Amino acid sequence: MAGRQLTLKNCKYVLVDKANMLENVDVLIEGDTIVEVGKGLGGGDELDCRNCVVMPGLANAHTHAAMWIFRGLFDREELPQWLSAVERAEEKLTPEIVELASKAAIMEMLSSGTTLFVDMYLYPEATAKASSELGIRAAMGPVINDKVVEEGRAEKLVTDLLGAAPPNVTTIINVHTTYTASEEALKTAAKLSQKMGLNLQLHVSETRQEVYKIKKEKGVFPVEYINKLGALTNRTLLVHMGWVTSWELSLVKKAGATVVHCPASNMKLATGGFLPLVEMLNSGMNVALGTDGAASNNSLDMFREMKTAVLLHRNSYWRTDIGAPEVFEMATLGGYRALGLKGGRVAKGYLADLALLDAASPRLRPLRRSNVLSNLVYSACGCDVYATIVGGHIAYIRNEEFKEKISEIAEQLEQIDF
Amino acid sequence: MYKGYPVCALYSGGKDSTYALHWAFLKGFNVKCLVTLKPRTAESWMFHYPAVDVTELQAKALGLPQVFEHTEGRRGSELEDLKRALRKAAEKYGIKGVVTGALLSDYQRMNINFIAEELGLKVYSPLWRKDQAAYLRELVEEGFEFILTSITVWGLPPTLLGKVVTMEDVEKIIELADRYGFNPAFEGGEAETLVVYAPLFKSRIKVEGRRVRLGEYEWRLEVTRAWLEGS
Repeated sequence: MAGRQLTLKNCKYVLVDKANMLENVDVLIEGDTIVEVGKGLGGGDELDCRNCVVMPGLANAHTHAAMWIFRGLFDREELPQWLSAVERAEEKLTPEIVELASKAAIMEMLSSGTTLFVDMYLYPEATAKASSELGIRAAMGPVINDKVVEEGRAEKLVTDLLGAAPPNVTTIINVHTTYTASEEALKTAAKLSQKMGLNLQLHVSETRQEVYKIKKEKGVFPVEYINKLGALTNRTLLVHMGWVTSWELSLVKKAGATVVHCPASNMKLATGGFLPLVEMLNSGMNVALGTDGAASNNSLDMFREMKTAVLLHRNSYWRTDIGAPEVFEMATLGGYRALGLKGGRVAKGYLADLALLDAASPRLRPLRRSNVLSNLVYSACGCDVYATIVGGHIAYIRNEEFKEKISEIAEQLEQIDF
Repeated sequence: MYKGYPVCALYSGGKDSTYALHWAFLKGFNVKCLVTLKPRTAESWMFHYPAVDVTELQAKALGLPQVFEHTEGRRGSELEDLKRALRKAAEKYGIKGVVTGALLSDYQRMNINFIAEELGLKVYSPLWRKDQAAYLRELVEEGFEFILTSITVWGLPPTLLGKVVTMEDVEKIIELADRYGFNPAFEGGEAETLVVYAPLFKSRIKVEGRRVRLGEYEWRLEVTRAWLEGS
């Protein structure tokens, strides 16, 4: 696709993907796509990258952006009590508040190298508007619940959002979880996903309580249950999965569904369980990484999330099978793959969704070809991002103005008491 | 003084439940008691049958009280037996959690968790999905002494019955597991084990018995006498 050109000149390092690294090269972008990576390239605007590490943009494969507003309010509760507290606070939310809180979250994500996020929340049209305005790539959609289905509004909600969705926003279908949605609601969501070719995102096997309830009421485990209802396909994003059993894994693999791992949120909410990440990756399953919302993480920084994922699994397995390459792929390619987008690599033909890190940051030093990936996963944080490019556009560049803009939004939201 | 989170250890007397119990102590849990189910049949899906009586000696060696419950060992009803036992432990010792030696069986792990959910107990399974061969080596390296009390898989020599497993035996077992395709830590019930000494045991357990052949490759150690060393 022809379009505006942008060249990232003299990039100190380009981390193409988990296994490939280039040094002192240029990246030529045309329109929203990378058209060449190599030496001596030029064209269009130029960005001097001699002090930058260029990497694929991070895909936050599961969050609730507007929950930014609840950060730090509910830190002690276990998940069921936490949900009740959040639901009470949500009564104060309006589309305007959701839009503003989404903006704050998106700006935070952009400033920490996230180029794509998958959302599940109230008023998705408000979050879509904020995404479009700030130039991030996003996927979101209405939450299909019993009320919506009873009122026969499910399809209209999806088509309305689909019709109004800005170019960077992909419409998906959300279901909160297996125990809060009826069989009818799950079936409706599954049918819509199939009919309209849209991704379906749901929280699954997050807690022991959920698995117990579904097994007792439906006679099967949660993944078996959604499979029975036709909701397990290659378009499904299964979020959490800390209580999945070995026999459910083969169903996930067979369906080609994506598992989204949110280690920090799971640990903070003390959900226990054990996401069998080694077994999932060894089977070739697509696994992505998400922060979950700021009310349960409480950070939206995918660099922290990558490190947390490694630490959790090394501590759980007493082994080092999971390391920087595995989580880096989950945090980049894994998220893009889940949505069927060609992104997550710095290579010809891929979406120009990139994060540029300040190579002079002390957290990235000493910096050698051999430790770039290691430093990014184990030492860097979102604050080391110098610029974020989404679809060939510079959506974030480190400056005072950006900081002030977040601060203005935050001040408005801080007036609301919860 | 903080005494740690009160838990019981689901205890069969085998290597996995003994190791899990040690893990709990090292993590600072307040292990209040052992909970042991005594199957009346040899075909339990959940609990060890051979040599389960020796757990009384192990409890003494550990200086821990023990809650016993009989089980018919039938799939389904034994879960009720386990629930009864855990309820008893909760009432008598105020436990809030259960430590298990589950390694890889989701049937075992989830059933224990479902019962614990009903009783409001947390479950800790420190050995879950650990590398089985590495675990076997660690056991011996860390001073756990165990014998095999039954063999139900092709490839394991009956000479291992009743013998304290050495590092040399461990390497042999790992090699045989690889060759014959069984789990080196016997998660599939390929063999049952009995711990005769572990770092927290105050004395060693001595066992006398005889090997009984039950089938082409099925063997059992019939324990004729067991006692605490020095008693």
